[in-house]
Amino acid sequence: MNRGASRRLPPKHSAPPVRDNLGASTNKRSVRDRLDSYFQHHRSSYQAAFDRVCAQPAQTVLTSAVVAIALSLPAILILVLFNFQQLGERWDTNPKLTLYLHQRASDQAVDVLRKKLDNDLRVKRTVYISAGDALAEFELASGFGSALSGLEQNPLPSAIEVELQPDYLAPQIQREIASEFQKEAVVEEAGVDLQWVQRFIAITGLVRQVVFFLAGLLVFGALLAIGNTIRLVIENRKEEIVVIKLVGGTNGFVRRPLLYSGGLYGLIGGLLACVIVMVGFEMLAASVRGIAESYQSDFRMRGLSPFDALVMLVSGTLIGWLGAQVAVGRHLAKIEPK
Amino acid sequence: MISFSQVYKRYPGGNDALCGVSFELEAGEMVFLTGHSGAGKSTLLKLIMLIERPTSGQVVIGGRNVNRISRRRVPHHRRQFGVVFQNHHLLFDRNVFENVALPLQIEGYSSKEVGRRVRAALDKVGLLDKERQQPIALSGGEQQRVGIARAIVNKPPVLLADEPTGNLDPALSAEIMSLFEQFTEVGVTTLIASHDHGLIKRMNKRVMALQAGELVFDGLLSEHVGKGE
Repeated sequence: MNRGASRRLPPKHSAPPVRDNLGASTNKRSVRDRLDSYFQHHRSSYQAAFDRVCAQPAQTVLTSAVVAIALSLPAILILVLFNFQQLGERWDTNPKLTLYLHQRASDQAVDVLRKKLDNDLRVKRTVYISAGDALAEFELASGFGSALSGLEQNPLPSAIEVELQPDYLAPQIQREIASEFQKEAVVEEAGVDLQWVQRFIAITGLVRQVVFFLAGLLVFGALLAIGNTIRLVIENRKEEIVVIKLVGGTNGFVRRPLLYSGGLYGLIGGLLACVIVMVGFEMLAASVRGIAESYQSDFRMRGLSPFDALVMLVSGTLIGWLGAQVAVGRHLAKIEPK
Repeated sequence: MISFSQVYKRYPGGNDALCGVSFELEAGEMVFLTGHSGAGKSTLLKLIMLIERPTSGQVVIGGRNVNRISRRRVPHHRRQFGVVFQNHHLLFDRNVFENVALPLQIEGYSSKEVGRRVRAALDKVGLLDKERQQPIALSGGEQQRVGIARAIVNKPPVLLADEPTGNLDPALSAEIMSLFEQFTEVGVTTLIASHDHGLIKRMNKRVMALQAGELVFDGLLSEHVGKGE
């Protein structure tokens, strides 16, 4: 023990602490100094949070994994949904109007109609299917060839398939155009094969709602998990918090490292989620490519874009920060010096 | 510097900890607060630090009525006091330097300034060579001196000590007291709660004695022969 030092009278260090105004010491420091130390505390808070995260890898992985699951599951669903919609859009370009012609329509009248359609700016292409062609196709497709050959007369009408320009593919517009063509004398009936498109849109809409609901639930779960971890941190550091408050630390001072911890857990969760989604998609994409090739389609799944990844990281961090905020709000106020 | 006038403190449950306590402490005074445990010593210190609020009466510190200090300003209020605890309240997950630096970090000093002041404070209590050690590796007296260094590191105008020599042998106690005396010499108001009568007698400073929440004696022991406490 160095007793000599304690007996020495203070010649240099103890500038007289006598002050008329008690708050003087804080006012003497420049704004620059205070800003410096504010950022200094942010740095040290971050450092402390980082150390804590590294010191307890099991706790870190568990907490972050909850965030990762909460983020990656909705992300995968949303991507799948997006790809389905893309697929839907590709199909949407194909639907055709089918104009069934009167059996007794003369070839001349049909030719006039075809010319008119071909000159219509809304129409991309027309294909004439004669009654004979239709029957041949039907025989081929259905395998009822021999039964049909017993018929005296061809029961099928001839038809014109009309492919519309891409601007007129909305179901409503297609229906309007169909009813317009219906008025043509030679057209017996104009059919729009739209039902399945509408169903598809309705289903993807429903799935989207389910995904968002699920995402909400999962994020809530992640908030609770982070909150619980931060609560444990607070419990473990009770004594430190009391001391900090005794020597004049504000709630903000105590809160800062905890919020950094939460944010860090969330960020790690976001990173994990990105990895999960990328790996999952790589696996899925290979088989999708195989299926697409067998259908001679050049369809490619859209994976995680850099922007998506950024969104995941940011929302992970936000979830972590928010979870910590909730825990801190609930548990910190209770810890006061006694 | 510190003035109590007709201060009452009743805890929930009807326990009266202080009953009409009035006194005045001048800047640079060194005063011992004595009394049996449960007499209200700790409550008095808590009222000064705003750990508790008075039920009625006025506590004025540095010309400010503490009743008017909002919850939000309590941390700033506490920064005026260096506090030494019987169980020294050191943090065992950090070394001596970091323990002493805590009040400065809270107040937002630059790290250069923190280093300078922490070393000055450690030098003052004779522990400059231990700044890198963990508190757990220090003796009881050394731990108490780390606590004192932390209390004085931001040069507070008031030093409060709650049984600072409670666990120490007489030699160490005397050493701690001489430290406190040095602070008063540079103008620090020092209020020490203690029931160590031998020590209090030797120091021959102003003594305030509490009994069941009432101030039953206030003055120099040498001028008061045959006092009750």
